[in-house]
Amino acid sequence: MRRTRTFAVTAWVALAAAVGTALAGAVIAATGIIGLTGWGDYDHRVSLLPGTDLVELRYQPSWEVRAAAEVCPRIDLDHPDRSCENVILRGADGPRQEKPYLLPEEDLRAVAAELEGRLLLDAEPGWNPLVASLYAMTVLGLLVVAFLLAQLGLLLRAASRDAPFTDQVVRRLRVMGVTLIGWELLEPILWLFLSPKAWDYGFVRAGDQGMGLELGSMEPGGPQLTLVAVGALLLLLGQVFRRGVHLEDEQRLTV
Amino acid sequence: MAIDIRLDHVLLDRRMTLTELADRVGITVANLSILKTGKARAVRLATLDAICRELDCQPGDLLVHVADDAPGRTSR
Repeated sequence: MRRTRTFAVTAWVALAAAVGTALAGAVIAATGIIGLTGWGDYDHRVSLLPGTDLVELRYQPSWEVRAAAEVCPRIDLDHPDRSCENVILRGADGPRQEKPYLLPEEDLRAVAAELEGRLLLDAEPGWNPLVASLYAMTVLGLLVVAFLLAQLGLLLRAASRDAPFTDQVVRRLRVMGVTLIGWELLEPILWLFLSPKAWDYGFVRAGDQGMGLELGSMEPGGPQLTLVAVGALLLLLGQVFRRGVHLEDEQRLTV
Repeated sequence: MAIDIRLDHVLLDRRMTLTELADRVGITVANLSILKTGKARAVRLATLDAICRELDCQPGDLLVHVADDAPGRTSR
């Protein structure tokens, strides 16, 4: 009984999350369409409860950006080296000093730094293929997540009503697995035609000041193996549940 | 399956209803119905024992092997 109630509550949570995700996708699609058609500015912050900031949706098109730097082997206090980051890993006893230098610990020291983040983009209202691509892929990704959450909700609802070993549960597990693997394989292919490189965007930087940002791969990456593995696991779980359905049938038809 | 269930014949002979038998052997009517209609995949010896005790019959009176290609027999 407790298990059934837990399934039912979790099912409603998953279904509510699915509706919320689909709603977020619809709002982002609407703001994208408004901006791309030139009807108005891109709205990167949408309040779903007007007049309050209780339920707020933030989305701004972006692309992966990286910064990498060497760490100086020592800090010259009089003439800091501009070609590397003047930081050292300090130990419990503090930095070693050999004037005019600050030296790192002998046994452990930082050699390089790598930072990853997003380059937020803004555009004037009107058609822009890259902005359209970024909006479309975001909305598509959200719809896939909403679909998966809906499947999970329906699966749990079915499990809460009957025994968990039913054909419906098996079917939903398979649909979720195939969707996850399919999306992870399809996404890089779509980025082939929708990435900044596909629209001939590059990165030009002048001077040697700043953080030394570089656009992350201008080409799409491959599928995320972790998610593909999760999809495969769901398919495997579907097989296990199919065996469970068979055993449940045997049990039910044994008098 | 080549096993025919003759429970309905025995019940008719004993002038007993399925519900009455279900009450006596402590099995639900739904489960006995599965057995009677031949949908059951397996029968527990305990069930067979209880039914035979209440109907005063032998297991062979309830279960009859019929060849699959016997005339008039359709496979399920």
